[in-house]
Amino acid sequence: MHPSPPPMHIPDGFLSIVVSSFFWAVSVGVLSIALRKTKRMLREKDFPLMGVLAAAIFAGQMLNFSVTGGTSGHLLGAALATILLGPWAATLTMTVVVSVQALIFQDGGLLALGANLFNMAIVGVAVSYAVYRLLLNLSKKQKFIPLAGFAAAWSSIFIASLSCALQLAFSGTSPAQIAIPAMASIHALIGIGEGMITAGALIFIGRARPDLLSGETAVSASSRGVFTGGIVISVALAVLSPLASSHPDGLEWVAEQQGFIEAARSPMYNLIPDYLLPGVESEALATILAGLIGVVIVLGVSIGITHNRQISRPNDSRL
Amino acid sequence: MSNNFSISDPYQPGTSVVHQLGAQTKLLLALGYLFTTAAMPEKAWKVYPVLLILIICTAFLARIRLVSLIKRSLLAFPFHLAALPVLFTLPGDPCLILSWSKFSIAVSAPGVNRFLAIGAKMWLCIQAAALLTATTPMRQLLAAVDALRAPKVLTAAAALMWRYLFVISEEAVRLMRARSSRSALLSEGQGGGSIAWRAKVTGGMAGSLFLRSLERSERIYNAMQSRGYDGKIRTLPSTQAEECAPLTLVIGGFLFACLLLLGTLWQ
Repeated sequence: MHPSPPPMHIPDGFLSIVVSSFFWAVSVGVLSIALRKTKRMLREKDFPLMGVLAAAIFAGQMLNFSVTGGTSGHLLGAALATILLGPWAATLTMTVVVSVQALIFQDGGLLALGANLFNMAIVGVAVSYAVYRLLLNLSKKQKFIPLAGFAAAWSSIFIASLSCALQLAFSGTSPAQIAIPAMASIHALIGIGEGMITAGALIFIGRARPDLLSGETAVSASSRGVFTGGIVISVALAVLSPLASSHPDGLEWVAEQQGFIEAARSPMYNLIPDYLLPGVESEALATILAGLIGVVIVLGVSIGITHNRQISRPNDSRL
Repeated sequence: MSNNFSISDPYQPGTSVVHQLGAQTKLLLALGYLFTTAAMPEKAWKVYPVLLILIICTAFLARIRLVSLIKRSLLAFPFHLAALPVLFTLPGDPCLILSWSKFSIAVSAPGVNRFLAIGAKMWLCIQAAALLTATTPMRQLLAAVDALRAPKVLTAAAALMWRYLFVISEEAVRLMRARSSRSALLSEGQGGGSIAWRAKVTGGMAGSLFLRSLERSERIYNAMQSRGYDGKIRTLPSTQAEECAPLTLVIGGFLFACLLLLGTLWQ
């Protein structure tokens, strides 16, 4: 059985056709830029490297450590790949990983692959690159690298989950005011596991092969564009998500402006209702209830994942 | 443990009609099926059984056991919970009111409908994709993706990844086995140190997996170079993948279009 990664691989059936095609278009656009960039920057040696490291990330997602009560922390790998390979090559490597997971292992849908690539290979990589660079500009000390890696990994998971929640909200699959806080809170926790593993890996690599982390690697040689892109994505998603969850009308309005609603016909995009929960009079009470539902979902998702992990690993022993 | 916890190739060899169909045709048909299912109006409950029958018939033709397909779909089910809130937030006639002392919360009929439709669509799509990979080996599938003009760099990297995935995932399993054999679990308490320490150990494992793979890729590169690698990936032309059965595709496309039309009209 194949190990289950964090719940960020959206299966088919969750995204409306409009949202899936939009993100396919965006991802294909960004990937073609990445392909052009890497053609110029990468040496022929780097292509076998990408394939083998894609396998390493895939296998690295199996590594886990137990946290408490049967839950475990594990690795998605976008930040680690970005720090070691540079953003463009990491985008391509993550693309290969996520695509093979969808195509062969049904981890994430094929129609939803555009959106999944956007979240994990594009947002995840760009955000970790931006955060890592930003923090390394503050201090160049060797000791600081694992800390920067932790921050990069945590933010990549957190911001990517916001993007995932927004995609679900735009598809009418999960209302913004519940999906965004729920996804954000569960991934704020999952991100800590990711960050700690990434930092641990960087400590190990810093000791065994310090040359890979010293200034002259792909990370520093890369363009400003990714850096700005990563910052813009992080800020936009971090600002847009609370806005969308506290003013569902705002999201509705954006959708109207973009012509999504007409394009999507009724079954594909249904308006988020103007009130929070039907049948509940007080708005404050409704908000609290919405929060409670969010907590139930978080619990359910983590129990579900744990259960899956236990199917895949019967003799789960504490470390 | 290692048998249960390693990545396994989902391909099930066979000689059925479905196995012999060209990979490109199968890929396009599967994509058509996914599109049809995802675009199906959520109230078209009379068409969902037809979609299910298509899966069952194909699985029967391919002699793939349905149980093996269903097993694969379990993985995605936790995700279905993400759609749970629509039960309460879609406006519509309340069909069930849950009340608990002063609080009450209404489940709306359109909400129930959407929640079930999302689950049904997800399940059908996973079955279709699982059927595709159970009847098509990865090599042919990649050739088919290639034939659909996917960038060569990516498919070549994916092929290479597939070749070393099993080797490297075994390495990951070995790392984990080494860790568990060195950390004894005491009967009265928990083994291992603090969470941060455990995470650091796991991070070290990830780092060493990465370094080993890096070194392996250097060896692979040297081996490729000694055989004349010049940056281009050359593969033998795969006849089966490029063979495209236009008639099957047209029939399939027509069927999917009919189903969509039926779903829109017959709700």
